[in-house]
Amino acid sequence: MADLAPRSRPFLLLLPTWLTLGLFFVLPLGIVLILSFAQRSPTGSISPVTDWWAYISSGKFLSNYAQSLDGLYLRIFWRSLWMAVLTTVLCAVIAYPAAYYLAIAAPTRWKGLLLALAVIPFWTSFLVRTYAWMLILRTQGLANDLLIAAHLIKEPLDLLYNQTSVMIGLVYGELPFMLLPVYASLEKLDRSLLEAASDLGAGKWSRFWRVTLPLTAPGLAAGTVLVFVPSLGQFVVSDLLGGSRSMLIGNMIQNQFTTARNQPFGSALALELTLLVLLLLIAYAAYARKRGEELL
Amino acid sequence: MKRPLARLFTLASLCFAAMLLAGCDNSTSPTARPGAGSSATPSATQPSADQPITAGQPGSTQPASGANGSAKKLSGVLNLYIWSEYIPPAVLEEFTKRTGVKVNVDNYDSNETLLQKLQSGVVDYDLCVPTDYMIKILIEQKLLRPLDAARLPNLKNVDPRFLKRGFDPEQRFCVPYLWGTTGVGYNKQSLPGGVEGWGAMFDPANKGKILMLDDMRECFAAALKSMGKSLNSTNADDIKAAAELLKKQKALVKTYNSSDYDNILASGDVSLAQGYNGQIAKLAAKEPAKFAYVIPKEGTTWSMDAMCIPVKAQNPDAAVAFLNFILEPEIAAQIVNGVNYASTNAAAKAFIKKEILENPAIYPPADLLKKCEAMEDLGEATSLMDRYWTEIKAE
Repeated sequence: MADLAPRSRPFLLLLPTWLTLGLFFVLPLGIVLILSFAQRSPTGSISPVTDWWAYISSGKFLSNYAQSLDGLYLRIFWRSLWMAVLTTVLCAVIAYPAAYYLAIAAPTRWKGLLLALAVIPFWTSFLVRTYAWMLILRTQGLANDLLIAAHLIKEPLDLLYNQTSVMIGLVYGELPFMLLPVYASLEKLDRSLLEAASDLGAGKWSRFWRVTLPLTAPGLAAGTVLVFVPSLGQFVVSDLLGGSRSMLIGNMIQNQFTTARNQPFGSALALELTLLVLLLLIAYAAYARKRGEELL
Repeated sequence: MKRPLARLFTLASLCFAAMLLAGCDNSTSPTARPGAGSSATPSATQPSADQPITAGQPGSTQPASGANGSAKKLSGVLNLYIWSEYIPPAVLEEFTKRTGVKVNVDNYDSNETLLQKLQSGVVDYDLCVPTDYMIKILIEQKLLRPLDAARLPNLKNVDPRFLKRGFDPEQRFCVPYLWGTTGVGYNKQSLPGGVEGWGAMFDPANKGKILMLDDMRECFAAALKSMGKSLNSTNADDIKAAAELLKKQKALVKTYNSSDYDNILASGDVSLAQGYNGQIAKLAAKEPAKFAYVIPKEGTTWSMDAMCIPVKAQNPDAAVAFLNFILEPEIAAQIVNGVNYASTNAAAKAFIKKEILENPAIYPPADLLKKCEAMEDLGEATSLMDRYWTEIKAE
């Protein structure tokens, strides 16, 4: 390294990142972009274009995007968006008190153990854990057996294959991505500020709303991005726990690449989803700049 | 200017990593089933399929199968891409014993997944087992390697009615394997009246007890057949009417599932399940007092799976040897005895268990079979059907 000019060193350090992103992100995205302007052939492959000029000037290359603006597809987009928002909110509501306890209230000697307990389940494959939820929620599953044994219900409840079971699966799966950043921001919180607030007469609630929460907002924001983005594209949970009764964007895109054999339309839908996520990230970056601090 | 951009990229790469992680899970999801792992390795013991190998005794090293004479040249591994629980591990072990070629098994749960994999060009399976309509697509997309009939002497064992069908008129690309039907598996205790036709799957009395395959074509086939139409209809009015029926049916359906239907039926979560006969026949054989399989009286899908060699196969010689091997009557019978699907091999009949040959769920009577149809590619109508399918699932 010694003989390299100092200026080239950051470049060398960045090279692996750029290569990985270029090869596994930019290149596939480019392929998807090109595919999204193509047409499905009757056999389900890509139609060859004979007259490029006519193809472009007639606007036919945009037909997949036009098709995606159909109310039917927008409705699925909207529902997926709504489910992702709900997942994020529920994750925040559940993770914040837990993280608060872990970072501030828990006895120091338990902290490591508790944190490990929160994370260890996530060493198992997400799929296996989702199947476990199926076993718990099914008609003759653990939850119903316990409720019947406790004489709380007589007939088993329909716990599986509905919106609630999908929500349980989504929140369960994404929870640690909210818990960890919130925990980190609470851990970093300067305790003397809390003392100062109390000294200056703030009650417990007032101190929380006016000091703790604003100071840990960056953690919440980071958690929001980490939870919202993957839950927007989720499709396994709705397939397994929802009995694939309701389609989400993820299912819709998957179907285009499989049963419908319509790669161009699937590509257009996938790009729209990517664009939506990118807008969110730009908004997040703008927020980060305004706060003037490193958020992640 | 530079820092927020850099931060955005850090964040983007992080999110990308998160998506990648989630994606890894996702990509395995459609094929993954709790039990599938056991069938993925030939060495894994599978209780139901572990019959002793009749053809495996030292004395019967099949001098008749001429192509196996080239066994001395065989080496390496054979990568087999097949439906889950579709070949008994003992059969694969026998092949390894005879030829020294190790068989790697990988599973898929839909023809479309198979198509995607072969189209991607990054995999090098030596054999795959597509269903009739998909063979046509694979041939059209030039993804299959032509076979040399001279090297497949055992093809003579195949029942002629499974040969030279529309999708492969010269029998140049595929070797018939097993065939089966899509029908209804039901719980006899919750439905003491029994089930005769598709009507039960659309009957409001069975609300919340129904499982349908999570498969656009099979759902439409059920609806079209129940209306007395062809399941290959490309008529827009037929497809629309079937879609209306399926939309109404959705309120009755508890879950759509293509890979786990037998387990869900067995667990008691549903009482009626649309499914492929082999898996349900296996369940019914285990608990005959509780479960039964019926081919709906209106007719249904019948499908034949055939073994094909992809163009990118790395070990085509071993693949050809394997094709001759599974075409041997004893081996073909052993496969049927293990997986409960009907054989396309006429010569195998003598070695198939009597209770399987006499089971109408596996070998349906001829008059019922006449009402069944093989699926054909719908061409442009696929997009129309997909739109309705999305509408059904969008509710």
